[in-house]
Amino acid sequence: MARDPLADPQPLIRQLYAYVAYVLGDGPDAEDVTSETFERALRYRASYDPGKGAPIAWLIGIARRCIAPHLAARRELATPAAIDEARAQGPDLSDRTVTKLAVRQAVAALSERDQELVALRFGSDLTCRQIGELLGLKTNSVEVALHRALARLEAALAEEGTAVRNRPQDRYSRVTTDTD
Amino acid sequence: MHLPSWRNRKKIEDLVRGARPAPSRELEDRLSQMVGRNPAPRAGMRRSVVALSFTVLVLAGLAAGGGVGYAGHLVSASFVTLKVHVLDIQTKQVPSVRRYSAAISQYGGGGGGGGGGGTTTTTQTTTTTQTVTSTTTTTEVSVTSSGTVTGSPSTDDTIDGAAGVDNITVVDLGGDNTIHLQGSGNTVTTGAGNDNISLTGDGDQTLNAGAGDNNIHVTGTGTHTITTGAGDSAIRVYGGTNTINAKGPGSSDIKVTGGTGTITVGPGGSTIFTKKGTAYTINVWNGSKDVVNCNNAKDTVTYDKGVDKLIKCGNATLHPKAPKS
Repeated sequence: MARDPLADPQPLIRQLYAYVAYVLGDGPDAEDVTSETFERALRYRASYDPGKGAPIAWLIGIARRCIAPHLAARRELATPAAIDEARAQGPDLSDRTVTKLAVRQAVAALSERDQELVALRFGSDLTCRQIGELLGLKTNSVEVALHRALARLEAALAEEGTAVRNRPQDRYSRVTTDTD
Repeated sequence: MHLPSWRNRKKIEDLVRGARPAPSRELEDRLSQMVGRNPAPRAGMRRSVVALSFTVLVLAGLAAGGGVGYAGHLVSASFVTLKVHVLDIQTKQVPSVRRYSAAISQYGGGGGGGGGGGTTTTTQTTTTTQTVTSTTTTTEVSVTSSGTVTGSPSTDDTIDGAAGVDNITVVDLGGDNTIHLQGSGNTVTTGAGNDNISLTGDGDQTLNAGAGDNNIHVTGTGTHTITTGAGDSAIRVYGGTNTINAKGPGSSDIKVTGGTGTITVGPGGSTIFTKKGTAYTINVWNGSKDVVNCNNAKDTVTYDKGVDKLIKCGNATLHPKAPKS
C-alpha cells in the first residue's frame, strides 16, 4: 500500500460525519453511516489509490453507498423539524444554537442534489474539483450548481427569519468562530 | 432566480460551515480506536513477496543453466532455515495480559531504577485459566489470550480483546463499561449501567447486557445471541444468525443490516430497521407502539394491529394481533 488513508482518522471522522449529517440529519442515523463507512474502509483500505483522490474523497465515495437505504427510510420517517422544537424551548437556547438549527433545517429543505453539494463543499471541505471528480461533473458545473444552491439556501433562510442580508457583521463572525 | 452577491455568498458559506454538525465524542473515540486496532498491512509484506519472487527466479535460472543439483541444495537449505524460524516464533507466543491504570499511563510501568516508560505486563503461563479481577480502581484490560475477565462491579472498566483471541468470557456486573472483543466464541455478561459493547470477530457470540442504555455493535458472522434488560439500548448487527431479545421495558433502537434470525422487543416503543435481503422473524406484539421498517425485506412480523407502525413491509409475512392490554 502506497499510503494508509486512515493514518490520521480524527479529522476524517469529523469531515465525514459533517457530510453525512448534512445529508441525513444530525443523529443516530448519521452515526451509523459514519461507523459503517469506517468499517468498510478498514476492510478495503488496501484498495485505496492516492492517485485517484484524497482519503476524504475516497471515504465519501464509500459513504454515499451506505447512505442510500437510510435516505429512503428518512423519507418515510420524516419528523417535524428540530428548529420548531428548539424554539419551543424558548430562551434557554442561545442565538447561535437557533441559527445553527435554522441553517441545518434550511439545508435539509434543499433538493437532494443541492444538499449533497452543500454537504460535500461545506461539511467535508472538498474542493469543487474533488466534488466534480466524485460526481462525474466538470469543476465549472459544480461551481455554478453550488452558487445556485447557496442562492436557494439564502432564500430559505430569509423565509425562516435568519436573514443574511441585513444582519450585523459581528454576528456572523461569532457564528463562524465558535466551535461545537 | 436571484443569485447572491459574492459578499453575501461568503456570509452564507460561513454560516453553513459554522452550523456544520459534529460527531459525538463517543463516536470519535470509538472509530479512532477501531482504526488504531486495525493497523494497515505493512509495506514489508510486499517487499517480502518481491524478494521471494526474485529468489525463485534466480533458482530457476540456476536450474536452467545446469546447476539443478546445486539449486536443489539451495532450496532444501532455505526450507531448513524456514523451519528454524517457525519454531522460533512458536516459542515466543506466550499469552499475556496487560493491565493499565491511570498511574501507569501517566508515569509508565517503572521497570525499576526510576527508568519509567512502558506498561506493566503480567504474563500468563496457560491459555485456559486466565482470570483478571479488578476490585477497586477503574481498569483498562487488554486481553491477549482466552480466559475469563471479571471487571469491577463498582467502576467503569475498559476491556479489549485482541484480534485472533477467541473464547473470552467477560463478566462485568456494574459501571458504564466499554468492552471490545475482536475474536469469536465470546460470552459477555454485564449488569446495570450504560455499556458500550462491540463484538467484531467472525464466530459465535453471546451477550447478556443488564439494564441500562447500552450501545451494542455485533459485526461478524456466526451465531449471535443478544439479550438486553430494561433501558433504551441501541443494537446494531451486520451479519450472522441472530437471536435478539430486548424484552425489557424500554425504547430499543435495533438495526440489522445483514444476516437472519429473530428479534423480540418488550413494551416501551422500539424502532426496528432491517435491510433489504435480510429475513428476520420480528415480534413487536407487546401492546406499545413500535416502528418496524422492513425495507422490503422478507421478514415475518407479528405486531399489534392498529398500534404499531410498519414501513416497507410489503414483502413481509404479517401476523396482526389485537393490542395487548
